Amino acid sequence: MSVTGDKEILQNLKRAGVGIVDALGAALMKEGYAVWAEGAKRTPVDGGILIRSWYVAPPTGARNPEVELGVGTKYALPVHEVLDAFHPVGGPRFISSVVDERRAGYVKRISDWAWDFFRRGVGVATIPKLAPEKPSSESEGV
Amino acid sequence: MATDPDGDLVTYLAANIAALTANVNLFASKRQAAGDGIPHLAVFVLATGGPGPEAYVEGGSGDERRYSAVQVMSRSAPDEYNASKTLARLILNTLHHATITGYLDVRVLETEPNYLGEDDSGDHLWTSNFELFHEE
Repeated sequence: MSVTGDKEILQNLKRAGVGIVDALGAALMKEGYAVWAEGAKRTPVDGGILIRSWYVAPPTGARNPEVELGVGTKYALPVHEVLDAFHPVGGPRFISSVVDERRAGYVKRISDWAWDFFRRGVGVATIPKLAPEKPSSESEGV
Repeated sequence: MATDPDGDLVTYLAANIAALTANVNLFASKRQAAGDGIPHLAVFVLATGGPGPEAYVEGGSGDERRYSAVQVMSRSAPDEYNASKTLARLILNTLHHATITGYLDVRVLETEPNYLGEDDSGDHLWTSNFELFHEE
């Protein structure tokens, strides 16, 4: 049995040092950025830093990568959960509503991206060094 | 079978938690201000959407799975923090994997209730979020 293009894939992997787990991590980050892009439009804005505290943390887990996203302020939880509060801009459920909407086709989408990244040698290392990280606990009280 | 996710949870909670009575201190609605017959210690159950339906056959028009999202908010008076925490945990444990007619499963999305702090009256607020898995 032969696989068309396998030499090219191997060359790419050798050059970039990218494995499928790395490509999967990059695919999860791409999904995280998509959630952020839409969630930011729905985030209430009222003089605080909530909308500026969004983050998509780089993948963790050597074998089963996980990507965490969220907002890094203590008051985010009631803003997200209290459904009857009035917000001049945005509204509650500004994260979960986006995640819900993107859940349909999630597995296929991530899988397709991961395979595409794998073939092209795109991994977590391609994530810009300035990508936001999860805020430290010291900054959560802001 | 037609389902009414928030109404069905109210019915189930009223039948399984002695302290809760539908339309007395348990409501299928958004939060209502205390007073005029609405007690401080009250529970509000509200459908909040959920992900889109998933067809068993992609692109097909037959049976599909649905995941209805429901938020349960518990509120208590300022001096009832411990009671409200106990009630919020009881609700979470009562509903998680509850057997409710019309649903294949009920799943809580957080391990513990979310404590939201105090509202303008000093009442304590807690929420738990659930997904009700059913077929249509």
